Amino acid sequence: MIFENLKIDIDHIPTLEQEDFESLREDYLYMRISSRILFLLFASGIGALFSLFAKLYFGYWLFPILGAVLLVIIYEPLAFKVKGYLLREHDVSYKTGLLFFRQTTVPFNRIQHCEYNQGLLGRLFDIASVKVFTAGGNTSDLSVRGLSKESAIKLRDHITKLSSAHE
Amino acid sequence: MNNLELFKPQRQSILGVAVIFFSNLRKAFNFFLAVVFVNLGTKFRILSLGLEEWAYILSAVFLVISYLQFLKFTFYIKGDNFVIEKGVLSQEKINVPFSRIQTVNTHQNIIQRILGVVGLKIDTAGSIQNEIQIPALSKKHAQQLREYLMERKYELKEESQVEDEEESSQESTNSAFGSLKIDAKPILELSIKDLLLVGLTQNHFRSGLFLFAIVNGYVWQFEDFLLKPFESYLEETAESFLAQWIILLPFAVLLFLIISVLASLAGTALTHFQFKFFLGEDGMRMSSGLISKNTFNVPFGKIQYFKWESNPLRALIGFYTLRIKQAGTEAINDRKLISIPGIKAKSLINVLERQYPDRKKFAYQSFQVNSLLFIQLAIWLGAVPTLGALALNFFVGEIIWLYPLVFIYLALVLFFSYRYFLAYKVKVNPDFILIKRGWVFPTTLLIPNYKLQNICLKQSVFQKRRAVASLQLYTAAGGESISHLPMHEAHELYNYLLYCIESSKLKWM
Repeated sequence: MIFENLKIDIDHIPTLEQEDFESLREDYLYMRISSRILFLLFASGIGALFSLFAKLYFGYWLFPILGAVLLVIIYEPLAFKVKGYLLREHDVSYKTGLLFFRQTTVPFNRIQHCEYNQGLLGRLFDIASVKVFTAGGNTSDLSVRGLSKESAIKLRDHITKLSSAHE
Repeated sequence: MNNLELFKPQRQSILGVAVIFFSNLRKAFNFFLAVVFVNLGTKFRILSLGLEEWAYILSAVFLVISYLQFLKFTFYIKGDNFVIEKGVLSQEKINVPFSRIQTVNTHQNIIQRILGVVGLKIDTAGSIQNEIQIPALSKKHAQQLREYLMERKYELKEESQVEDEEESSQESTNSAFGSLKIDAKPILELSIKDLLLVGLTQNHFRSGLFLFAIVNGYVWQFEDFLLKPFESYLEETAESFLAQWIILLPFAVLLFLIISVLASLAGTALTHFQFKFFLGEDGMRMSSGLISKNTFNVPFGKIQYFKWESNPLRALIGFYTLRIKQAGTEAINDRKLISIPGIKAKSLINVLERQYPDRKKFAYQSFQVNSLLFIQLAIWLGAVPTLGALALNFFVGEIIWLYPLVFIYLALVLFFSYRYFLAYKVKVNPDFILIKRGWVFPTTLLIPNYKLQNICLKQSVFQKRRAVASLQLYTAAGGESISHLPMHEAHELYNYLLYCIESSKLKWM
């Protein structure tokens, strides 16, 4: 054990297990795929305009975009499996990233304020996110994405209540 | 304190007009510089008035504007807030709750120094974006206001903390907290000789690049006016320049070096002239500056963590630079980041002893970083640039002497990466994290565990294959990272530090 010299027994420290994480709503996966495909549609629109007016060979834009669509459809479900959030008695965690994994935990007694967010697409898919802010600039924020509107509001109220108890 | 009459709106010292006037003038000067440049040499006339007349008229206008700004600038105390009202055309009202005030600092630029007034700056935790400052107050007034604000701040804190305590005992604690108790004798004073040493041992490369960036910015801004007249001349000489670049290169490097050293000397003299560092029972204070004089007061509670560093030149004379990290947003971080140049090991330990007396109470556990750190450094700093250079060499034309050069470079990178890897040390005890990194520029960080705000575990695909992960530790004064710890140790440290934060009842900000 690494902490054998320390004043408390390492066995008594709560551990954060990967299996404990709650996975996000499946609708969030569909929302991400559609938002990326919408972007690619927009890009192909520009490409089509170019081939119409500037006589550009359509393959120059069509094939890369089809490739990107394929990539999105393969990558997003795999990345979705990694994402998850975890609410514990004293902190909130979020994990994401297939190639570059990131797992962040913010204890409630360090939270300054928290925010509820829902975008345009989010309204269609009933997906909202909760942003958690700590002191000292925006490098240290955490956002829990891919929740339903109802649970996002619940989560925000819960975090606000617990974090203000520490002030 | 009642003689201050702080509850009625009041103006600053009448000399404030001059301070505001000169700061307006400086802004205007930057703005009109381009206009002056364009018309340099030509006859400048607008509405049959010349440059000089316009200068007088604009100055008069600015004087009136400054006077109006002065008249409209008032400050007072309302309830538990410090209020500033300002603005001529659009009124602005800034409310600063006492509880938000972090520290109150004074500063003096050259105008304020000549006029014998001081500016007062109120630092908040960064949640209020506007800069809160009063440009001109008499020294005595500023001192009183500062003390009053700090006193009220702690009064509020005490009230909320111990509500049931009796009036009399509260008063005694108030006066103890009122102003920072600071020793009259500085523990560190930089003499002219020290200043020279600090200047000479700066990171010249950085100050040179910094100067280059500034000059470059100005040159491009006025490119048309500065370079156009010489264009034909430049084109003629460009070819012969190119032919002789190998001869000229050493001279250019030498010139860059000389200018860099001069720039660091000038920078040091400007910022650290008459540097004095005081240490007291519950805080520290430092004052310095040649043209503008700055005083910083740092209560111990506001310090997030310490960072001290050196470089090969400084190590020779035993100097460190101690950086004191305070809470703040990224944008205003460098102003909040207070550094003490030229501190000797003995004084450094003195400061640490004062701030963290029981930092060695518990044994430290060491963590060994994975050799992936060395491999990644070698690849990114060594292999990638080398392959790029070789490819360029292959396509553009063979330069034979490039090969030994590349070989030497690779060997150097391997050596330095390996030393960096060996020098990387992480130690943790129940109260502190100690991180040592850098071999050429050794840096040490001492972070109290309870000052952490959140923790992030990062793992890239390359790290996953070797079962390694990095930790990113965030405090209110910014983040620091621990690279490439073995996976299970990273997880254990993650859980342990979270436990430290969550079980701590200490006020971290």
